[in-house]
Amino acid sequence: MNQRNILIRKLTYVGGMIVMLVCITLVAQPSVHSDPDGKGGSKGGMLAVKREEMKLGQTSLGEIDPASETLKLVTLGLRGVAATFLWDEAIEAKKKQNWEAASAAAQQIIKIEPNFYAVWDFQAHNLSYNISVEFDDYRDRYWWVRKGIDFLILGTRYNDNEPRLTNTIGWYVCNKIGKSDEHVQFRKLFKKDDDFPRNRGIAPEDRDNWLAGFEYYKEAQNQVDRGAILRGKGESLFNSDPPMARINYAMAIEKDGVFGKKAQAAWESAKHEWELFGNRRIATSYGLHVSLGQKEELMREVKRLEAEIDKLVPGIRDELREKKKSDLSKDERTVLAIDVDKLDPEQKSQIADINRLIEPKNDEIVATIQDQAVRDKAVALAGRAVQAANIALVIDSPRGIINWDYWKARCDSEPLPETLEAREALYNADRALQSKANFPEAKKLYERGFEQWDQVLKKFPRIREDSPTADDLAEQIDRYRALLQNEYPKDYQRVFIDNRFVLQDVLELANNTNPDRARAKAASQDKPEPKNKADRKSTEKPTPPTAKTDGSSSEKPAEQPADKTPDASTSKPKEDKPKVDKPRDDKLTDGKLTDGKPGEKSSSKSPATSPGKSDSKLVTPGTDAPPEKQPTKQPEKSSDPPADKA
Amino acid sequence: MVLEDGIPKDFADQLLSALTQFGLIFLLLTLVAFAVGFLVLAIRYGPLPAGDKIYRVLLQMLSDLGGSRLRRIFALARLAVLESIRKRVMIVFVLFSLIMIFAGWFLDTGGYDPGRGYLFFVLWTTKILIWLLAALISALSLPADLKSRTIYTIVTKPVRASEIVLGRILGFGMVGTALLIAMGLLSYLFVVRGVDHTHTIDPEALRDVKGISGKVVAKKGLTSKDHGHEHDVTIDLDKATGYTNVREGHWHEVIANDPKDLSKGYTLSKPLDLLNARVPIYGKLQYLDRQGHEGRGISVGNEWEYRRFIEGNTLAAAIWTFKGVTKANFPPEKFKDGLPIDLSRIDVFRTRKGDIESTVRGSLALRNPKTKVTSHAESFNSKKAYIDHHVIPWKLEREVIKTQAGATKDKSAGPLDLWEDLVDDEGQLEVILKCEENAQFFGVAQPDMYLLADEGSYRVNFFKGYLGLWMQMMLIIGVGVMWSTLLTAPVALLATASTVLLGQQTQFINDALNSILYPTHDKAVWGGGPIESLIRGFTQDNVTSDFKVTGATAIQFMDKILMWLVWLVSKIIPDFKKFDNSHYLIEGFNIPASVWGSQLVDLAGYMILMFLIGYMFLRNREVAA
Repeated sequence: MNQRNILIRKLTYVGGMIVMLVCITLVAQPSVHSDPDGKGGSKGGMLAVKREEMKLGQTSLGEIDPASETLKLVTLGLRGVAATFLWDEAIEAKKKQNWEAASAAAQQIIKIEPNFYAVWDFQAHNLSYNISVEFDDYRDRYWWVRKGIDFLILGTRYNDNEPRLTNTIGWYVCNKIGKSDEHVQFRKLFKKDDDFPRNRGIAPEDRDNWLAGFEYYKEAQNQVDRGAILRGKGESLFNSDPPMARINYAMAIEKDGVFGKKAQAAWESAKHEWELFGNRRIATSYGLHVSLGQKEELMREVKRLEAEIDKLVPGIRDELREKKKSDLSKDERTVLAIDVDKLDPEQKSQIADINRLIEPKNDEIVATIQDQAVRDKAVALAGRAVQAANIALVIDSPRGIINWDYWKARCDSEPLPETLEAREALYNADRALQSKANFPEAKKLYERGFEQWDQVLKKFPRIREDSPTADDLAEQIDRYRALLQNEYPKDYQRVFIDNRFVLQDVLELANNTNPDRARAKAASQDKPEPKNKADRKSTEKPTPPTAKTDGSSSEKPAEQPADKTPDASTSKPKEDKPKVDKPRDDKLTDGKLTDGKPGEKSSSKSPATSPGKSDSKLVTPGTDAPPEKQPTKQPEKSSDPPADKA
Repeated sequence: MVLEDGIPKDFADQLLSALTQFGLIFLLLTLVAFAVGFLVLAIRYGPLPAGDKIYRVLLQMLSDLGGSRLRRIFALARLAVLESIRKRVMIVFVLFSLIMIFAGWFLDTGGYDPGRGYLFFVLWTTKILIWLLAALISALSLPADLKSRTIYTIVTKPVRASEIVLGRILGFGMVGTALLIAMGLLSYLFVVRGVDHTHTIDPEALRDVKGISGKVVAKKGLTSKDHGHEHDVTIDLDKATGYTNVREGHWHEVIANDPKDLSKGYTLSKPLDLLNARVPIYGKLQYLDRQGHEGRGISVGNEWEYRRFIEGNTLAAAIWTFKGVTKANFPPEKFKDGLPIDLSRIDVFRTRKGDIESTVRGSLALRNPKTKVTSHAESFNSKKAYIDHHVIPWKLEREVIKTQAGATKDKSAGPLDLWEDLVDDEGQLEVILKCEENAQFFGVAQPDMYLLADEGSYRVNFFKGYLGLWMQMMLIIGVGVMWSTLLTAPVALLATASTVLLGQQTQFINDALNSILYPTHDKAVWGGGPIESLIRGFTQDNVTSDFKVTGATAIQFMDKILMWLVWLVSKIIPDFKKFDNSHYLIEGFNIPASVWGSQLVDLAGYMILMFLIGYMFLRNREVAA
């Protein structure tokens, strides 16, 4: 090999090296951060730019833990294997009730997999749910719940862009502490928990898990707003978490007996949050971004556009409707002719279908227009109406998932003074009954509470139709009924047997939607009828504290007969059953509650014949029609008609 | 404490078992070694010369072993020590110290049971470092000498191969022991100082507790928050003493600074029940079912069936029969208050919520195994997460006398004397545990109840815990030196690591062996032997389905042959977990002599075995050729 060849080869090498250096620089040059005043710095090579864009750099994921980085290096690329071994160890330790080892293994796993969401999620759930439940003392359970929450909080330090983690903290703080079997005890412990990060600087009496959870939910929302990607959870549910935390807070403090301005403010905050939620743009599965609170506006727009079409061709809509009506079958016309209040459920469903059938479509109206200019205008209007109606239809899906209408109605109704008063009255009634065995006071408060509730439910019929409120009220109605049965049998006869109880539909809804309740009720009805009063008292459930046993007869109404006849006392449950199950005519419930005076009820079972005097108004008037023929109460028309239509 | 392998036997039984096992392994290995050696030599030289060679090797071996001198062994051991120091093994101690210094940064000091957490940490860290050190120095030393030919400076001296192997084992053992002692001392200080704390009580903040008469009889309140926790405190005003509740695995005694003037405040003791060395006397457990008949206890569906359950508010019970309940074991002058019985983390299973604020109620009663005289059942609230101490007074209330014919109410007799009425003439006593709440269950295993015979020294127990680590280290050194006499450095290291890894998985190996060699429907390991599982892997066949490939029977037969070989190897590989006493230390129980004694015997057996194998390897290696 001569010198020339050697030179060529060397030059080739140098050339190759230069080319490679350029390539490497372009591809892998590291980025340089600029000065605090923005000077200097460079974006780096292609890889650095991509890493920054896709947030793949360790610094963009969150805090860097030196111990974690060291362990990742030490495992020499086998951290997946190491994590698997540790995972197995954690599961084995949990299985063998070696809680410290399980917890230690979880801590080790996150050192080698600090940016893997599933690790944090699974192990935190293990600590807060699976391990905590293994303990018998609720304080130990709380300790482990908190351990899981702390674990998640640690996770957020290493994962800035993972809103699911922050949201999950909110879920644990809200639901594990606020809704588990031990929620009463957990909530108390939470108030005392000085170590919880969000409790610092807050007086114990102002601490609440729902408010702390709300903060985490909000933080998760903010992370998404800052550009973090939300994975694995629908936007509607994710964004409903903050207002739901506020709602649950308001409900929780009311359960704790806090009413008045504090409860009102809590509900106002919940309402405000719900409105913010309603205005928030969220992605739907249809690819559209919508605001859930926009639906009503859209339906008003549809109505307005239809009115404009009607203006272009006055009377056509009615004409078409009448024509369609005349095309109906005889049976359909018969159903249509029935008074709305006398429709049975099947007929109601049928009539809704008929109404949809006979309602003229906009394109049908447009088709009747002869004038081309008018027609073009009408086509444009109809197109806009269809577009608005379609968007409203898209909104319906996420709204259904989160039960929008119900919670919106709750947020609207709960801050009202009458609702607050109703809840306070029932809370105090329960206390008067269960803590003090003060029957007259409890009775009075129950009656006042139920009356108030009836007023509220009339204003907000949507709440009446859903089970959560019904479940709450049903328990209190049961207690009230038991109170009357045991202590005021005459009133019981009048309120529950002779008449339809004012919140009977709520009770029925609770029975229908809660199988356990229905079963318990059926079981209690299957029990043999006790032969005398003493027996009856011991078998009926629920029963109020038996203050009678200590001879507190002074708390009974003086008018009450000393010895109740067996008929009056034993026939009630049997009579109750058919009346509860039969539909009744609620036409008159639109009016005010009766004051229960005998003259206003023409039944021979009227309390007028009863020596027991009561000021109870908890009966629905006009109950002289035979129960078998009385249809169920027609739900009042929603205050949100466009929604029904959509 | 969880003792899955049962209560440790007596020392004599353990020793017998260890010696038998060692004898069998030794015999088996010798036979295999001679058989294989003979086979190889017979192929090379024919059967007669092969026999002759083996005979000569045996003679040489006996001569070598007999001619070994302690002086030379120690000289070689000293060389090994110096070599280790030259290789800066002390860096392991420096590393350990650094870890201890910065441990506070990442240790969960407010853990559920910090004592356990600290111990777990120091034992784990020590183990990892000492194992690494032992493997590295033992496996790399001899091959490095061979490679660098510095071994010539030794083999040219009048030393025997046996002395070289023994010297290395001893030398490295000494280095490791010194390091382990230093690490142990540091760990002890770390643990003791780590959990040491006390609290203060503000006497003004305590609230009064009135008795039935309306008089203030006690005070209740909270301690200060130290070490990340606080305690509920109850003070008996009559005695001017009190106690705290159990938090994070411990509690404190409260003593008034001036019993006559309680406003002068209180002093709390150091944490109690945190670093213990309980000396238990275990009993034999018998379950009764809900009808009161002998049973097995109920499974509540836990995957881990260590504990069986008894149903509450029925005749179901767990009855322990204790032996050795004598005044010699429990002198009344030492046990003034009564017989100490511990319930160790019994399990509770609720089928209904019950009273959330309170734990499930149970009861304890004592019974004479022969006369069936039973004491009044004392009610208590379960403590699932902790060790629940009970002291049964020497004088007890009488409940019923049960005769062979059945139970009759005893109306005449007064209180019972534990020694006279409840302990039989053989020093036996029955303790009956019942769950008293309807539809709730207690889960117990045999070691969950014991008589607390004594409280041993924690320091000594700590030492015994580290003795287990020392034995493991010596095993690794033995294994490392053994492989280093045959293999090159990296291969020897790999072989040592593999041996240790296999030694950690003996349970799995045994399960796999049993599942393949003696297949049943409830086998522990599924998927077949090595060939079958390889095929299943490639064909993505799940492990529980029938193995349906061509030649499945032949494959399974070959698998069985392979597994017999695995069986043979598994008998030679030391079970490292068997030498682990950390659970005693972590749980606060004295490590009985029967356990560490038999471990020492096992260790001696394995060390002899590895020395012999190492010697044979080195003997047949042409080092100075």
